[in-house]
Amino acid sequence: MKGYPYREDYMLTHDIDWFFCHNGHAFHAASNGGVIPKEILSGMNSKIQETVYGMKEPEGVEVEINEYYIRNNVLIGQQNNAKDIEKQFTDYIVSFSAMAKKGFISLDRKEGNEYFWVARPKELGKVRVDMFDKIPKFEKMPVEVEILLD
Amino acid sequence: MTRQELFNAAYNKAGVIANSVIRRHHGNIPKYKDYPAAVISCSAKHSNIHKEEHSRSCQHYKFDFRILNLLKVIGNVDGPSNVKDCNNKVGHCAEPHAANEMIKTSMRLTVGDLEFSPAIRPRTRQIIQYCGNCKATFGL
Ligand SMILES: [Zn+2]
Ligand SMILES: [Zn+2]
Repeated sequence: MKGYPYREDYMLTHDIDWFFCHNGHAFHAASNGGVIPKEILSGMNSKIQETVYGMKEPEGVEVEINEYYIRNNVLIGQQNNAKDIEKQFTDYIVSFSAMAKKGFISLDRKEGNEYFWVARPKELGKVRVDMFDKIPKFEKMPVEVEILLD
Repeated sequence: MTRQELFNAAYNKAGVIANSVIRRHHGNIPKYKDYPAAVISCSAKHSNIHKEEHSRSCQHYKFDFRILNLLKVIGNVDGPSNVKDCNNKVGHCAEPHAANEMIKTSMRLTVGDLEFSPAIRPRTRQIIQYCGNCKATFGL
């Protein structure tokens, strides 16, 4: 597999999907204009994106959304009528829940290099890890994830 | 244009970009490989013209002198800015790109005539804060 590294300028102006495995789980992260850890940006991410985008959704993956956190911390104060609030919520989660349907714990980045989870498979134990053999593995989490997975 | 019309223009552009990224997931050749971090719409007082642009670097991009003179106050285009606590490079935000496309539509426009929509993150369509550079440059 070949890919290309990202320039810093590009990272700071883009919201890039990147991927890693840790402790038997597969993660998707939205860079949201942040700098991607150097182990990831050193080459293969664009190829891994293609692999992931081409992956079929495994059957029977139910998705859980970190709804309370998103409504109360991420989207708070953006809209003022109920219809717009619901639309904002569905717009917000769509790209993350698509990744969770594929078996990823899906993260978004807030200020600093801290991430939080947005969507994940309800039963993590049911996700087959061998689907993710091309995705880089990390012993240590490469980013800070604010709300730890229980 | 009203504030609502400007917001709608930016929101719709964010949707078009997001859909283009998603279509790539289904094997089409994309215009956008990754989501840009932000899009914005820019218009001017008493004008029905509006221009939408997204965040990106400025290589091979030429700013009109009216925008360039403003940007120079915070630093050299493509370089770091002198605005405290803002890490964005000068000229890389959606705002200066959209302002530039808008101001080019008429020699009579000045930067004081420009009006901006809120900044929108295409992936999620959430409204995001203007950065320190853009606040300093355009008085947002
Ligand atoms: Zn630029
Ligand atoms: Zn800015």
